Amino acid sequence: MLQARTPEHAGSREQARELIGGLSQPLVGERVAVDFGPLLVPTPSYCDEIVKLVLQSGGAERLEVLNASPRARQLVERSAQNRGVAGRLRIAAAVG
Amino acid sequence: MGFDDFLRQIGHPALEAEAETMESSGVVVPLRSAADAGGEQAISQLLWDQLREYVDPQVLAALGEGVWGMVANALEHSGTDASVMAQVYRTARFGRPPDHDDKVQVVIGDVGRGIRAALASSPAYAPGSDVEAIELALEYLVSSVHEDPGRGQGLSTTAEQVGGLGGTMVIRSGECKLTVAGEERSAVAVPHLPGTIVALSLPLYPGS
Repeated sequence: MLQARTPEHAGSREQARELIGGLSQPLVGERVAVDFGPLLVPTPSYCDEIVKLVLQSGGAERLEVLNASPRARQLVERSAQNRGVAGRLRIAAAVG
Repeated sequence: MGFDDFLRQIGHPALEAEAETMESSGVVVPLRSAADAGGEQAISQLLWDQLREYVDPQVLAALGEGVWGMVANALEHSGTDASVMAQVYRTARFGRPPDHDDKVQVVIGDVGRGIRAALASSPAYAPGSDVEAIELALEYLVSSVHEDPGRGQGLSTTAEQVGGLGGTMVIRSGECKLTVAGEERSAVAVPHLPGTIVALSLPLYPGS
């Protein structure tokens, strides 16, 4: 299982690329867990880029989202639907 | 340019309708460009740090999401820098209990090519007017980066968040000013403005 943790202040696609780029590559067939707990302001761009890099272009077996706020969860789920990868998304625990 | 001048340029409804009764609480995040602040993260964090003491957490989160999205839009699509300013307004004197008319306003602007030209750069869209372009940009998953299915969420989700908290979003680009308040939208013709200005206005205490 590969694991990443968001910083408090992050919202851009570039920051999502930095986060996921820090994981051991390639992601094909891997399980990836991203802890959204520290994130103060989830944005559509940030959440979407994580979904894209892990599940769509990355080809990971699964993206597990940990400690997501209701808004972060909503944005991640929407992006997974938009990109046709919702079947490989797991929301592990919600807070707030 | 001061905050009030900036808002007058876009004909912000808070100033048109309520300027005489509004008093600033003195909480002002002055006009800063993303480049001067050190990028979109720095300017978003600046806003967060300066407003969090005064603004409901739900409102702060909605504003933060909006600012991230609008600054990112400006930097990616306008071809220029983006500027941000914010101010907290109270309708009466200090010491008064929270009031449903108390507001926080954030304005994000650029002097780039505007929404119509940005969308027209994609072969998928050919808006015939500025109002058509703004309406189109407010649709979910409409973006000049049309080949990526996840793009084009910023304006629509910001409108959703702001409207859900009883706020308004004013978008001015080219020769159109469009106001979004929940499900209601109204557009008026205005003198040409290069670039795009988005003004978010939210109650300090939603539901009060």
